Amino acid sequence: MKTILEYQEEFKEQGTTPLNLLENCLKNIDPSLNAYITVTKDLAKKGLEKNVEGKVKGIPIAIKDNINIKGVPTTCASNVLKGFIPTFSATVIERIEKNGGIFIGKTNLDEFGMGSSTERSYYGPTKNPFDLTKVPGGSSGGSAAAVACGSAIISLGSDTGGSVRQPASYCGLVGLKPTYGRVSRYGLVAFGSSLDQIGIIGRNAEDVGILLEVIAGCDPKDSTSSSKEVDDYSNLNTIPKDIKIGIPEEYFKQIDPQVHSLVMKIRKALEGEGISLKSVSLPTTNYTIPTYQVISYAEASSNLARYDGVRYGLREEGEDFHDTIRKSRDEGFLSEVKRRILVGTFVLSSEAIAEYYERADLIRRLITQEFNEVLKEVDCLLTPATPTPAFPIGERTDDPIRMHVPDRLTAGANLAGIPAVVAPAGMIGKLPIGYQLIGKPFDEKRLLSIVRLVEKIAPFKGFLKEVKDG
Amino acid sequence: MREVDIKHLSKLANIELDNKEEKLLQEDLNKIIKHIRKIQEVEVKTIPGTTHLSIEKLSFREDKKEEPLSVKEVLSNTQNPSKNHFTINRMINEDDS
Repeated sequence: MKTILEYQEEFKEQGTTPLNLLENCLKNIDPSLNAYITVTKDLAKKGLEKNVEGKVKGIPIAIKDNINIKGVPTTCASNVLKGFIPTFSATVIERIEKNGGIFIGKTNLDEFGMGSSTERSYYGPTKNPFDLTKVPGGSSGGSAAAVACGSAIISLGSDTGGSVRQPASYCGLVGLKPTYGRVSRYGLVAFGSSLDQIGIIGRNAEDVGILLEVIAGCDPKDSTSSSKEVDDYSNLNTIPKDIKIGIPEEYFKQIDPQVHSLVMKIRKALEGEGISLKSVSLPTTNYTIPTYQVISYAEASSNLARYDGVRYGLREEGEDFHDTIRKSRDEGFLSEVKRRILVGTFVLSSEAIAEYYERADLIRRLITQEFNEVLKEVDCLLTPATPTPAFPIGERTDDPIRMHVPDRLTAGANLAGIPAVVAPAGMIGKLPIGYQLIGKPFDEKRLLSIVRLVEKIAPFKGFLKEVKDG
Repeated sequence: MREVDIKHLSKLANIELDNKEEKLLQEDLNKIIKHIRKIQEVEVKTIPGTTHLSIEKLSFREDKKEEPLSVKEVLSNTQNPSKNHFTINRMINEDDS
């Protein structure tokens, strides 16, 4: 599998042209995976014609369909946004355009990012390229499947509770959720505004670092974006010396023994490089999922109140104004989104807010404090990315509690606003599985450097062989 | 634990549910709320709340006039626009006036 820099070398040497690469990627689009909601072939070709120089020149990039590209439908995999064509592009899209990147398509997701399997899409489920009977993970399952099957070199997703990292684990890829505020959210459709962060799914740490350099940085259009300087995230060859990595024991409970042993192999490989690893404890881990559920559902119920069928999206005429709104929302949302809006409305209602939302907000602080304390002792944490490899399609769709199980390992980083990256640890049968590194705020470069080191000392050999590589 | 009043919630959330959906969601909601009640176990008296997540001061854009979207662009996504307006159902009946 070639890296972005290798492609760009080939472009210079006239080996492969950006048009060849785009055509190869288009050929690799496999309709049976259902990774794309919209393929933007013409937009990609127009992008190439502009011949813009930059860090991602000529690289086909897939975009999760909850990030706006001006003039291309944004669906959020929901019927409620039927016919919606954004009049502006997200800041990340403008930055990629300025760096010569091209957009191959908008990828499938769980409706509005609410799910862990990409099965809850109005446009049908996405399948795992390693095994068509398994889910690709979610909610950025389309973005992960698109990269794993070679139809895009890299992709953007969004991560509210693990939605970039869990699919990266299930599809054998590197998935980064940056620090809250590292990347502008302007133009990303809001789900849980205090948790959402645009993330990157790629084949290796260096590619992810290159795209992070392009999209990171302060944006006057997102007041929560950080003015902190953007690191040279793609320069990953020097590992800072004297790294200490913590192993939080709570993250290794209730996980598949084979996942455990693969993550321990990564541990051993790192120890072999002279990195010291020690056990640490994060006792509030047991409360991660319910806290995440209360906060994200509450924020979702508020954010999704905007879909009323008046200014944009689906409109079902009713007898009066309120009836029109109710009918449009009933027709527009699938059941998981309705469930979350209803629970969110409940935890924010006057009779329940103190017991649920306000309490969850306090526990969130506790979880954050715990991470901060542990990350004073160690530089980052090594954990499994998911408790098991990808599960069968249809297995969890009727169980709203079980669907959240993988979030236990990922949602803590969203609650605390800290960066986390998932990368391949190995294969279990024919399915890949990832490990996760959770770091200090704005320490993305260190996390990616460690992933780069693992790529050198314990290279992942599970990439799909049938993918034609440019 | 008291049962959630789904009729009241769906009215608050502006979502119309048919009988079958109402029954299914009622069961799910009870399950979810039973699950999230786990947070009641945590002692929270001494913890200060979270007001925002940003590590630094929020940044604001310069307060200068920018080019707004045109009326045509603003109305481009509504299903039944009238000239320069969004349309909604009549709010006040003729009898009320």
